[in-house]
Amino acid sequence: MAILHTINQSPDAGDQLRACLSRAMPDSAVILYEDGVYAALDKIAQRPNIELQKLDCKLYAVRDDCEARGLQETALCKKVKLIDYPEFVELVTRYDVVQAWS
Amino acid sequence: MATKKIMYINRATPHGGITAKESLDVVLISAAFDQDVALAFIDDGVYQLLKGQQPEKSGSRNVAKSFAALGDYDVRKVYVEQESLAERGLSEADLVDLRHENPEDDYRDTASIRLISREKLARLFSRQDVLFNF
Repeated sequence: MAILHTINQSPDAGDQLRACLSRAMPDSAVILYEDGVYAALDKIAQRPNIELQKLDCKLYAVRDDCEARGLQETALCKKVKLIDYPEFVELVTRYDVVQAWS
Repeated sequence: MATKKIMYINRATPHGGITAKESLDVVLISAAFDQDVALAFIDDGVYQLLKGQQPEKSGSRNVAKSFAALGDYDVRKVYVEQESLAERGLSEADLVDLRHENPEDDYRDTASIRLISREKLARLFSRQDVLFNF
């Protein structure tokens, strides 16, 4: 059963991301959206307790949410693939279950 | 009415909720009452001042644009904590350029944002009459 994890809070606003990353499995995917996209900032992605580069599952961030917050694509962790909301919906349909961390 | 030194401490992201917008509303109201107002942006609050935000992409209001009005309300002290920027891989060049006319310098056009260390800002907190957290 492959899980799609979604994160919509800044990593400094709560421990959603830590809770999620410690449970993500190779066949999981993680979508960062709304304030969750701040975790994709390279500097934050490299933090010892985050280390998105080492994540061994797929990782996405919603492009519109990055642009709304003034995050430039060049400032983001290379591991992150930018998607739009239709692709978000498509991913939801492709996975067995969605874990929307709150 | 006696003038008080009031500092508004902003720790919220700009589009995660209405906190950032509410803070700005209160700041502008208190400035209209001739109080000695200063703003501080720490932790996630520094994201509020990022330039190039396009909030219409996620259906929220552009707070960064409203910040441009601060100078017109004589809010001239905008402190941004250096450590909070560095922890997010950001620098002063990533921030909006807020300006005001400085009455102590022949109303010269002057930058409002001042980078400040965590230690100095903590000491500055202790020199205020009132601290408000948003």
